[in-house]
Amino acid sequence: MSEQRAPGAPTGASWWAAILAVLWKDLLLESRTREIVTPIVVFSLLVIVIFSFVLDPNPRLIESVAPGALWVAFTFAGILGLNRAFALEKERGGMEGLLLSPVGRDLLYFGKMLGAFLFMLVVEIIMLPAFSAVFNLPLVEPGLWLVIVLATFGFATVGTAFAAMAVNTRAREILLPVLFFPVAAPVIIAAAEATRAVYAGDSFADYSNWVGLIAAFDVIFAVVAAATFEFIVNE
Amino acid sequence: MASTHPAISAAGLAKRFGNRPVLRGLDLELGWGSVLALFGPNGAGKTTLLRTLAGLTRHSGGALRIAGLDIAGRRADARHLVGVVMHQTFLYDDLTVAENLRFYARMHGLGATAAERAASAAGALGLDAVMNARVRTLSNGMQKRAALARAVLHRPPLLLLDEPETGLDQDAMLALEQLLARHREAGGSAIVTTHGVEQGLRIADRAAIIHNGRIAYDAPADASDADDFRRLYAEHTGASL
Repeated sequence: MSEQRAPGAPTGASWWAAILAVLWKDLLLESRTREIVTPIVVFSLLVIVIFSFVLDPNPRLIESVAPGALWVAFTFAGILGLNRAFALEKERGGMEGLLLSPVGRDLLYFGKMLGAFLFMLVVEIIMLPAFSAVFNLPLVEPGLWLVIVLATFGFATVGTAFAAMAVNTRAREILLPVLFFPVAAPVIIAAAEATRAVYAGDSFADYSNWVGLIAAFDVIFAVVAAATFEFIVNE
Repeated sequence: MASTHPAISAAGLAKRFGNRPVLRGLDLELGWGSVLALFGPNGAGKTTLLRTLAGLTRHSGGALRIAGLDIAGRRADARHLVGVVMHQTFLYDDLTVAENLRFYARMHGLGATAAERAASAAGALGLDAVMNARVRTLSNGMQKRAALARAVLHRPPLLLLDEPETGLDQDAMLALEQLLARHREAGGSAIVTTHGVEQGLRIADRAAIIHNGRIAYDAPADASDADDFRRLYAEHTGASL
């Protein structure tokens, strides 16, 4: 149940103003500190470089294995970023400051989630050229970018909720992946399958089922996470 | 500012963390235009009471109303009515004071007037010179002033201040006292937890002692001088101030 407002009661920020305020704050903080994007770019590039050394440079093998490597890198990078994003919020009680605001918790969720989504997307935009160069795979594939955007959104929807849950625990670095991976598995699998199909030159119709699965996941988890965020963040 | 309901009405307020009760049937009523100085030993329940009043933690039992709003069902409305200063500043270290204040002003729906309100709150606490400094570069005292500015920028009728004097120098304390005096004159109310007897009795018109999760003493602040109050405190808590 979301919080009830009384008719005529003083209101906080409108829904879009609250979401944009949280998003603006997160983007401004990251532009100053680069504490989220820089480490996860480095981590992701290392994963790709390691895979490039261990994989046989056989084109057929690369085509089937590289998509998995790409999504392993994206997923682990996303978890690192989500953990850091909420740890920063926790440092000076910023999360409690947010919770004192007279706005719905769903709006706080969407603000934080959009920030996480943009951070992950920036990392992927930086990483993908390196990945394409290392594995000699095409970079400009509209289908690939559609999959990346949708799957990253899915990661952000689930990851934001679980990161908010994990941040108050002592073992948050462990707890987040333990919670995140089982729930996000459908997106990871669908994204890897769709990416493999794109690199194999399949038509959109051949992998549209995977894209549809990711899109459905995005919608369901955005709604469920927003509706339950109040219970996640409130003591 | 004031409604016909009291600023705070708590009856049988209880809060437990697991099996550990912290508030044990606490009763408290605070009218408008009143500042309550709340004293109590560590672990007595001062911070938990303020967190419960602020809506940061849910009470386990009893009834709690802020300006007549039942906080169990109208938490979002009640949040608009309170300004809170806790031990943590709730500020972002890598944003400037102005950016922090404008951010919280926007969250309170003050979009068009956010900059003006931020400047006004900062001015009242002597922060004009550091508005463009990042919070992490400020001294603890200046950070505490910025936290106070954050708490008052949406002009809440009820202030909840948890040991606000910590880290404040004499000038800042004077600014805080003036701010509280103006707040009370405007019909606002406040609860200020403190360990400073002289200071608490000076800024408040009521003084209360909380012990073992209950209000053990509650009287006008001018009912006793500092020495008498220390004696009362020792009688009620077994501790010294």
